[in-house]
Amino acid sequence: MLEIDGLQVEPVIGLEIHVHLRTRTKMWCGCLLAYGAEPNTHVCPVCLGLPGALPVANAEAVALAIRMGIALNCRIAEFSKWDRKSYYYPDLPKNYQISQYDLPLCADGYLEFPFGDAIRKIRITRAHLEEDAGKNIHDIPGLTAVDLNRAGTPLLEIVTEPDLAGAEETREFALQLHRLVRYLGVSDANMQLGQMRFEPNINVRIHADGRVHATPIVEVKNLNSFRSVHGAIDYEIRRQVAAWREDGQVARPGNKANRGWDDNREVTVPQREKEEANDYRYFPDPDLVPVCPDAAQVAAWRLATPELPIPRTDRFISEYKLAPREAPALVDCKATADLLDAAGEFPCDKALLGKHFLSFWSRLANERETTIAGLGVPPRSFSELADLVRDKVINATAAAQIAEEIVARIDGQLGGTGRPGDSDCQRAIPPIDRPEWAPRELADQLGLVQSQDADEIAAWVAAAFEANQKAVGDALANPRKRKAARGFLLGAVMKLSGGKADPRLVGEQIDAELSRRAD
Amino acid sequence: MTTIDPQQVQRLAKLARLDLSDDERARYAGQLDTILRYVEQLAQVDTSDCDPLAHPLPLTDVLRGDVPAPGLDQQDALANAPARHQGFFKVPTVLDQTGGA
Repeated sequence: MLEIDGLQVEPVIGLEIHVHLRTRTKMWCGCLLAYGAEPNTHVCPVCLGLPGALPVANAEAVALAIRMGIALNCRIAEFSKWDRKSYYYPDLPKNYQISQYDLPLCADGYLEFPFGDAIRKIRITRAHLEEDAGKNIHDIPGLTAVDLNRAGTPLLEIVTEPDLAGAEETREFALQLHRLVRYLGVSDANMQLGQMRFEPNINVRIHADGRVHATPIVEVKNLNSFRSVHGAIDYEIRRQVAAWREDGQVARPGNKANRGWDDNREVTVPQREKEEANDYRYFPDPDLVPVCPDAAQVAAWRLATPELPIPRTDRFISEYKLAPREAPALVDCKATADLLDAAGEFPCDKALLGKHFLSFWSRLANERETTIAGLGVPPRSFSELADLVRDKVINATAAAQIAEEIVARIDGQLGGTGRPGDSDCQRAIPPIDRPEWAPRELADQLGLVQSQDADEIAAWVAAAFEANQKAVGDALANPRKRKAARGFLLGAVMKLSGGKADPRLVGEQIDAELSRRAD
Repeated sequence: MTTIDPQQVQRLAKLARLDLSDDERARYAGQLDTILRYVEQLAQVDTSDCDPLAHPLPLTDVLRGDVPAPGLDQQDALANAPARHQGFFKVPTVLDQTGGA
């Protein structure tokens, strides 16, 4: 419940989500999905809607839709069919869209996600399979240009019940869905490419004079960013309250309206309504026979559903001792999360392992514009390196150096090609495993095995004190400068030792020396 | 008993993007009426024991693998287009800019 201008306002929001499925080819024909290709170069008689061409459903698209339905806790249909939804628009060459009307593949599910201190449960009405339209290009004066490369792209439409109660909550839900489809490999869900689009249905229940007044429902069309989802809902809530004050209109059959979102002005704008209500004249498509998902296959997919991002985040936080705000960085890329778990299978200090993933392994991946799973480092090397640090064989700086050396050697093998991009969260490359590249081996080769020799360290400390008398003087004269001066001296000793000195022992010796001189 | 009047024909014509004259509207109203009456005979059959039929063929699950197949090149794709513009189909300016499925 919100308070707006002294009124108690309860927003009621349902969401429709369109997701491009991650297939190679279109829904009904063998044309490749191609983003940014020359216009009308990935088309054929089927997706051009030429007379006599017959569609055949893409089995992979059906599989992806069902796998998503399973993750959304949906009931998977035993019998599902295809229907024609008729309307005229230049980007729709057949003059109908093949969709699913009354027997969708997936129905009656829900998604739970943490929001604030609570777990929100949003019911999923249905998830059905259909095809995307082509693209109308309006920015050439005097004409509309049509590119049908996108026509026939497999599209999953997910519809929620009106269970969302605010702009921020809806944005978070949209983000969680985005994360989920990418996790399952159901969609790349690239927002810039329009692979995931949102259409919220919004109205508010205004509590006034002991009664509840529900404002007319508005559907905001085609939002392609999380920011615009939030912005459009936030704006609509305020606009609807103001409109109700003005005209007192409440929701009734037939007064639902469509609006668009103006990204520059950050307002919703009315869309030109057609003179008559849409009449889609749904009927079963005679060109396509029904789909009856095989129960054994569905059961197998159910079993193969990976641990989903939300529970995995919780587990990573407790298992790898990650801070809640750090966890998504390792969870959201599934291939990397799988690799962390593979490394964690070897007995090792998991907290250190997580720390290494967040620090130098991430940095090495970023430098190569790939993911940690794209580095090609064998799982055992991650845990072995963590163990060398835990056992104080090497220090943290040396660990980063060894990691860098391993990856540089793999670079040499790969010749700079074959790594997945940094947004490809599904693909790991096969690790390149050479016994002579094992972390322990490299620690020796690079002379990074830490010195625990007190005399050797004492010599470095003495040399550092000698060379940095100002820092020593500061530390002794001014207690407030002591911490900074100590850090400076520690750095100097590490440098003198070539990174080999055990920083903990160095610190102890510096403290002892400073105390001795202070007396 | 169904009867189709010219107003309903006009609505259908609009949905189908057909431009009909008054004469045609009256003529088609009669013809459509005849067709509907003919089909309506089916309503006399007792179907209380029948499941709804989604498709007349006794087949399900005719699917294809996700395997690319050659399509048309741009020239061929546009060959029958009444108008084109730099590789696009060219159509009269669309005012209602709500694309997408």
